[in-house]
Amino acid sequence: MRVGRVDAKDEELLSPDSKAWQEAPVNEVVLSPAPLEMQPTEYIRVARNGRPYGVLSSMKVSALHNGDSVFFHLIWQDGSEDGPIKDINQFADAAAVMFPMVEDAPLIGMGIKGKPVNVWLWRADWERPKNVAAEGMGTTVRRDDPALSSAARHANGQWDLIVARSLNGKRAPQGTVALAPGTVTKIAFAVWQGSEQERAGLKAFSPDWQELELDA
Amino acid sequence: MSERQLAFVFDLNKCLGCQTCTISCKTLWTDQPGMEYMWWNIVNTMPGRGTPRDRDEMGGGFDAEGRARAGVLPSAKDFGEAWDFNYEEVFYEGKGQSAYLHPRNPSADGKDEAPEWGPNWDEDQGAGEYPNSYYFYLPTICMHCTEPACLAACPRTAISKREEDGIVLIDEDRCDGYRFCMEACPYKRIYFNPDRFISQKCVMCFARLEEGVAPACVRQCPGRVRHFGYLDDEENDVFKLVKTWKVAIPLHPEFGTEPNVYYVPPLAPPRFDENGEIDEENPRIPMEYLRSLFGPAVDQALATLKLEMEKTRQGGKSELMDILIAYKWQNMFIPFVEDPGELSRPAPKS
Amino acid sequence: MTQAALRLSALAEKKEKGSQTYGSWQDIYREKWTWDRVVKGTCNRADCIAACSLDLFVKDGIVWREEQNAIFEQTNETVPDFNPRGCQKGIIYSDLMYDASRIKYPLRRVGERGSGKWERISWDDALTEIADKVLDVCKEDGPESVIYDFGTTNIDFGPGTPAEQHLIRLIGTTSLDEWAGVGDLPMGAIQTWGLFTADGTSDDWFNAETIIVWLGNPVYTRVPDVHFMFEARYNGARVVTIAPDYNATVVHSDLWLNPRVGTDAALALAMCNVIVEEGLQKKRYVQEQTDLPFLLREDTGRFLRQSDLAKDGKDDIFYIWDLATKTLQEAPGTNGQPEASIDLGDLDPAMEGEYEIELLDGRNVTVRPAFMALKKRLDEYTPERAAEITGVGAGMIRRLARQVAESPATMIFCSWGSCKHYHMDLVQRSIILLLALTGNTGKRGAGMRIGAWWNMSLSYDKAGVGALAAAGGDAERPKVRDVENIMKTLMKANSTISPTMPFLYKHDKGYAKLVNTPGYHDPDLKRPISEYMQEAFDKDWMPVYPRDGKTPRVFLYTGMNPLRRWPAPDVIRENLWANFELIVTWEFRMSSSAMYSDIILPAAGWHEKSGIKFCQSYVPYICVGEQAVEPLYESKNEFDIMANLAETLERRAKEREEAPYKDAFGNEHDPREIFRLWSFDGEFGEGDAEKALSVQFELSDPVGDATWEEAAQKGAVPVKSTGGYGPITAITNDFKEGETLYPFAWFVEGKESWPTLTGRQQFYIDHPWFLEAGEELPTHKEPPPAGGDYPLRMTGGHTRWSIHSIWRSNRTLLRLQRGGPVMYISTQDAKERGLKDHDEARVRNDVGEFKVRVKLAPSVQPGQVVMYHAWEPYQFEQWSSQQAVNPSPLNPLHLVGDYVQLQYRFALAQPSNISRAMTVELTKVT
Repeated sequence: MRVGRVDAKDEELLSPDSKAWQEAPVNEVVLSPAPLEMQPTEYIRVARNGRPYGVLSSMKVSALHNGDSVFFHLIWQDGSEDGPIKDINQFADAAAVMFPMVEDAPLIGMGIKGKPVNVWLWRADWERPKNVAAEGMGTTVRRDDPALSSAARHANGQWDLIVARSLNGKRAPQGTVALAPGTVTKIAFAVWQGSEQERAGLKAFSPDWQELELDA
Repeated sequence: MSERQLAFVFDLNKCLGCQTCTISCKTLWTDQPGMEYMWWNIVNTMPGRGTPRDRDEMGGGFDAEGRARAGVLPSAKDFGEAWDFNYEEVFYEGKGQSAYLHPRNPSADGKDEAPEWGPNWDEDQGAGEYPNSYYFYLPTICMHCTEPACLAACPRTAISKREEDGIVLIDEDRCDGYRFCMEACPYKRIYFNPDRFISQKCVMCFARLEEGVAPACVRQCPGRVRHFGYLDDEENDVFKLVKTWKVAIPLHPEFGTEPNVYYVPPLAPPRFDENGEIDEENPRIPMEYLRSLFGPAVDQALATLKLEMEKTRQGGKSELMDILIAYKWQNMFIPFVEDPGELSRPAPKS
Repeated sequence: MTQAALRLSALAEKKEKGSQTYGSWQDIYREKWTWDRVVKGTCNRADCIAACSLDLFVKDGIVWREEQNAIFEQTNETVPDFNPRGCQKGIIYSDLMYDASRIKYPLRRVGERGSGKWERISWDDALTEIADKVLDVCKEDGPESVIYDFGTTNIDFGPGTPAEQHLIRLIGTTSLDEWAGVGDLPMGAIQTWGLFTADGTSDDWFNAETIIVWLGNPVYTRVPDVHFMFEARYNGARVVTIAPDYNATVVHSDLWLNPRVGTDAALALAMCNVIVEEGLQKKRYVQEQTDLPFLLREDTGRFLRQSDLAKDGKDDIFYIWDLATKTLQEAPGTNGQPEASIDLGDLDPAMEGEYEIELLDGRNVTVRPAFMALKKRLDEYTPERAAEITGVGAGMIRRLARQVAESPATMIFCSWGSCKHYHMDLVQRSIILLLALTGNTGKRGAGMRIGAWWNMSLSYDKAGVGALAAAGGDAERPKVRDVENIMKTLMKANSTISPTMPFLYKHDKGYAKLVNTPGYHDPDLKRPISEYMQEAFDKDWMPVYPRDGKTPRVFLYTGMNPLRRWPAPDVIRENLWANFELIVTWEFRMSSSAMYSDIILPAAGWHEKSGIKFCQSYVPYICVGEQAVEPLYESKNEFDIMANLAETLERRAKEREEAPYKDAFGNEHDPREIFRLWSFDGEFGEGDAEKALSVQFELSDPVGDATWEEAAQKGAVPVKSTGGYGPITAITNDFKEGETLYPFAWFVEGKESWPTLTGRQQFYIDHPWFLEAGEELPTHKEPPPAGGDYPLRMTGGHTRWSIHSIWRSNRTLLRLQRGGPVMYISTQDAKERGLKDHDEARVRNDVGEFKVRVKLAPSVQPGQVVMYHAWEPYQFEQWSSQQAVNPSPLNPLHLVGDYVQLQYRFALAQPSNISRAMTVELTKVT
């Protein structure tokens, strides 16, 4: 996936209808349910056996940067908007982009001890995305990251989400992927449908790392 | 399984359904925002739908082979919302008799929606057909299970069982609010705090135990229902009632979690026959119903209880009856007999 | 291993294995369970029949939470201890105290009464307005036109209530006697014993071998004490509950008898029938302790009296036939006998037989022991006949009767439930008869229990009470009957205390009209109610103030809720209430009555003032509460409110140059001196509540040498003595350390005369009105169809959720109910009316109607609907509450005032607020 460089202000790139996004190339990312057998507890495996989740089969992703920040524009179908929960048995819609922190960090299982990944997690009930570090299932540590921002809109049965973070190169804080113009790395995606009580490992995800290259 | 286990025995033949335990817990732990609807301890009238409603049909726990069973995640309305009341409107808004004090569902965003369920909604209704009606009170808290389904379900390993006393705790720093524990708990004693986005439940008053003080619900029960102590302490009431006399038995043993709250099952007055005389043949509370709650052990527990009661009726002595009488209240929760009123516990200076 | 060692090992292990793993979230819990200080508190102005001690945990200047202060010692090794006394209400007062119903400032009504339009005013403005109006009325009509009503909802044993009483007496107002106004007066006990309370310590219940809970529901109403019953059950006692519905106490019973509503007397009499038929009665007890051997004249149906036989003979000396000497003998210890002893000595009174006696006028008359009349009456109540009346199987009746007769100690927990029924006296007399025949009254672990109080001094008047006590010295305890006779005489001579129901009848035309409704009363009555009432007023049986020609003009009431409790409040609001020119309350929470008042003064909450809890006898301790925090907002404690009011009255009287005025008895009151007198010449003023408490402790026998300071520090001090016999104290037994306490030993073991005409437990009342009504002996009568011809009987009961209306409106507790009023209805009756659970129903009869949600319960007897106590009218649509259908039908026999035990004094012999077994119908609201 190529991250084109455009000369546009942050505000424009945080607006899904802006000219820059209309012109940006669209990548079709294939998604599949995170495997049942990979769910971390027996309870979850039993509870979701025969109760489908992660049925979203694909999403559209575009990516741009303006030299200061990188922007991922994710578009996927979701018939119900699940924002801040109104009841305790509800879950918010969510989406994430994930990067390996080392070359061979495994995607499945969200990294492993010594081979961490970095996730930018957006949730429809949060004001801003959170920066998540993980070294395997159940190890995630979330923190607020002022460099992360997002814009999201639900209309006509689809989410339009833009997740952005300032480019930081070598100044990336501990646990955060280092991205700068010209960086080549990998990326993966995940989506949670709140209406289906999807959370944690119950999600649709892109099962393989995709190459990611930022224009210089 | 932990090295040692603290356990409770609730004597249903002394429970008054007064909810003093419920309030003692409420005012101590769940009086904060996001916790209004929480009742870590609740007493239900049984037969009844329980809290949350129809909890016995919500699954969770383990099957006979020890495999996890799927469970339902209850809604706030299932638990019963913390209704708001229109005090100001009635008292001070000059509306006279046109406004009256009544509850409103907070989830209705100020709309005047009458509640249709609450945590103690079916209080004293019971079952049966008059005059062979019946009911009794069933207090429940987190069972601090030996095989906690909540712990097993959590993908965050945020739930632990302490080695030294078997208390099951949710690490509020680790909890991400996924609520698999709430689904998996077959007793449905875990709540979700929407303000803090974490799951919360009975902590067995661990802070009190550290000072040698019994849990609030134990110490504050005016019916003197609750025995408390280490399950391996042979001098303790709990050990004697559970292990020696076997009159205290778990609720829903088929849930497979090996709960550590044990119940002395309920007696009831005899049934009437069609002439208004005593029906000696059939118990008022159907045994099938009691077995559905307490499993097959309930038959022997009740038989032992009746046998020992008959001894004292005949003027004899019974060690079991003496334990249940609890002549000295403090003996009900040895060794946690410290008096909190005697402690000095100033808040740490921040 | 010792307890301490056990705990040490537990703690050591914790330290070793646990502490290093504790994370920060656990510290949140540890920090939550902290406090700045612990103060000993209690529900110090709640009229609940318990006394508990609470630890108040105070943090950042607020009372954070309560926990029972479990300091009560076991009486002895053979009975369980009292800990931990408390209930869900007491431990959530700190929520009520800060909730939205709290009255914060003095308020003056600015709209119509009940409109909810208020303005905040200063204390000074409020008190000046009240003082001016009181002074106006005292000058124009005398102080009796000022009415003071102190409850019972919200009273203490000091210092508030005594401070109020003191000021009220100085003004000379009329006071309402609400004991019967709340429907708590057991007229059957008064008729039989001359006493209206009967209890000891609740650990004595543990000594019972048979416990019958009859017309009560202690699981709801005796939360801190009822464990003794269920522990007694484990100790071999049988617990029997008699109630139409499967109530919460039945749940823990060994036997349930379920009579139809209002047929309890028939059940008790049938048990008496079995006992007499089978010869199971305790003969010597009956001979000595009851009037049943007394000879009755066949011609008049009255007792044979000395005045029948001798010139100048007394009306209160009676006869038995002595089988030992075969002679007629005066019964010892009757009211006319100089010696108050019922010891029979060698007498062997005949229980049966027929004797010819020559009267003073030379005529011969046949006399027989009253026991024969009783046997004849009991013949009407065979178990089979009673089974038809009550619906309880004859076999069950026989079984229980034999059990009572054979049981070494039968206790009947009767409480105040029966007092709210029209024929409560017949029920209570029948129950007491059952216990008398079996020798159970006045015995450890036995007898009928209704509650009693330690006789604490209700005054801090050192010169008055103190001097009186000093004068008494160590003299022998005065006899109960003599104390009673003195109290009744004194009361008549100088008290404007008025029984509430006759007061309402006299001063509220709407209510009187309702009471006069034909058909709401006993059909055996020969005359209309109004005639009985008039006769009672004419003969001064019912002293009601203000007297003829004067009207009630000012109403001062405190912490009670008349428009919640009085019958048909919608009627009274339009009459008596509307005619009051000024209505003032001092109260901590907004009640329905407060909403209809003119001025509301904010009273301090319980933890904001020091005080003595209602000293009921269940627990042998005097429980107190010490002020934990400053009064919230602008509230003040009642002692200070009285000090301020007295000061304002005196100041205004001087400014207005008032002259002394006369009260109903012609005594002069000088309003210009009222604060000087109230303050005992400046000894007490605002801020001296605890000083008054110190004096009360000095003047009170039950606390021995314990001081207020000691009590405040500990929360409770052990009782050292009952304090003797007083106006609301009827333990009539000596308190002995290390022993449980039961009532009436003075009469049964000590053979002292009971305070009745016959000096005994009197089952035959030969008053003409009783003879006319056929109630000279206990009998069963169906409750009258008060309300009209409707198919359902509305019963009730005190609830676990409130003490009267206190806590009824508390948010937290309402969340554990259904958020508002409910009526329990049988599934069968609901089905017939198309009602489903939680449907809204219209409840109506000829008196009125109200709307309520129904709760379908198989536990409720078909034909019965149950409306538990004390919902605030403002919790119902249009504020029309359960009282809207209550005409409180009057039983004229309760007006009798010329028969030793049937004379009015405070809390004795008077008609009650009858609120149970109204006839109603329900229809679904669509």
